[in-house]
Amino acid sequence: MSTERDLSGRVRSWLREDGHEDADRVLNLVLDQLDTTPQRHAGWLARRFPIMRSTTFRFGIAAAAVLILAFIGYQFLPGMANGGPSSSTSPSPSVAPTLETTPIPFPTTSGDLAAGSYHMSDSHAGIPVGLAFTVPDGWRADVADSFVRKGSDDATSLVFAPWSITHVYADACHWQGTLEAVGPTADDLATALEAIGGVVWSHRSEPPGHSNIDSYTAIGLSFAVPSDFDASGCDQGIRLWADTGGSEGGGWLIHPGQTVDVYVVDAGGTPVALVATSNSSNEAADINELTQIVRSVRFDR
Amino acid sequence: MDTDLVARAQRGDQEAFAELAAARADRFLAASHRILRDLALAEDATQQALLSIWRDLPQLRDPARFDAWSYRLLVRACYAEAGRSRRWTPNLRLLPADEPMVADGLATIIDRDQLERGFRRLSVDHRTVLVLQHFLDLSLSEIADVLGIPEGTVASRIHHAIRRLRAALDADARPVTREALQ
Repeated sequence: MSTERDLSGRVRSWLREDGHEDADRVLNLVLDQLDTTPQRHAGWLARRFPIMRSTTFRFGIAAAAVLILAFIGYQFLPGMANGGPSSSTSPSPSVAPTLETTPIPFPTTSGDLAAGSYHMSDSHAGIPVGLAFTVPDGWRADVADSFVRKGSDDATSLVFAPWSITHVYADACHWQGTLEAVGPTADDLATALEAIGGVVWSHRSEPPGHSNIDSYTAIGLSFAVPSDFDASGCDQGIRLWADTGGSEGGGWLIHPGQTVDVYVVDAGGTPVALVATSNSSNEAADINELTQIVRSVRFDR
Repeated sequence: MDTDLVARAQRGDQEAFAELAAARADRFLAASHRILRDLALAEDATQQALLSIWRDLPQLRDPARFDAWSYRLLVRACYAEAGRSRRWTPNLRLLPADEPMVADGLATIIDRDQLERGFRRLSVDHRTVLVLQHFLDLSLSEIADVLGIPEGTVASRIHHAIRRLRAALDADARPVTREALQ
């Protein structure tokens, strides 16, 4: 099997082979259309602002905003009492959104997600079992990493991702050379995660360290790094676990100020990690949305 | 890059735009062809990207950022075309009949074929970062600028792309290929 560097080199050579593309025809088509394609000037947007002075328009926007807020409140306020694994309260049965409609296949290109239920197949996400989950408005699909996220910055985004964790780093800061394979069961995985050392602070949620997702028992663990921690002395970031299969150098990064909640679920004999990342700077309502996404998960049977 | 040319095109100078477009059209088509793996879709994406550049050019604040900005519009057009294509159409290219089929040549063809099939299995996101890095030679920060995502996400995406490509190649390794080489 080739190494990552070998394969990158092969890809580079292959992409640079002459493809004999000649864009003359396309270029001529474009130039022919310039006369009929007006340019948009910088003032194009500004000219639309006066419309917003219309009282009717402003009332319309305000009414729409109230309706949206009422809908979001109706959907999510009842679940605010349910914390993630970092909660110090005892987990209680979830009030997850029900999947009343057939979930939509998770998109194949990244972009905004409409509120609704989505299905992520095992082949798509590299997880041992497919699953469905429900998201409210305002979340995006990051197809490259099989993530659902809110926000664009790595350190402050809210992220939900199912993951098949096969190898963890024994030391999250000086992680090079510390990769360890985990055993085959959910308990093995939870134990391996709990043993991650270095700068991260981790714990199982107490008591008793379990909650339910779908009809399965989930072991909740939380990882956190203080927001004032200087990660420049670590090996290229702080890493908790490796990519599935265990190639060193990849895997899950945790940034200072972040909390990574991991729900280890034994879904019919195969451990799956549901990962939810938040930051101390995130709004409580957004973190609650993230918790509800996790709690809405339904595994394929 | 000639920022004066960009500034003239921003003011509606079609000749200046034609010069800018002519200098980039082949490269745009080649990059979009590599992302989309379909020449017809790539031509449509290139045409859309060039027209978008012309239309939105007056809104570009810094002419020195023209290249990164134009790549962003090209990638956007590729995503739009990829979304429109419901299924892959085969892109078959006949090899010259008189090309000697020595073992090395055959191995190269098989290698290309495997990469092609593996690359097609990647998502558009993954193909895009690999093309931006390995074909257009953009740095991580330049790719981040083009895609509008953090540098860390770019690095992670490239890593995942290579990992998935390797998985696709491994899954695609078939005994018939090894027999053909013997």
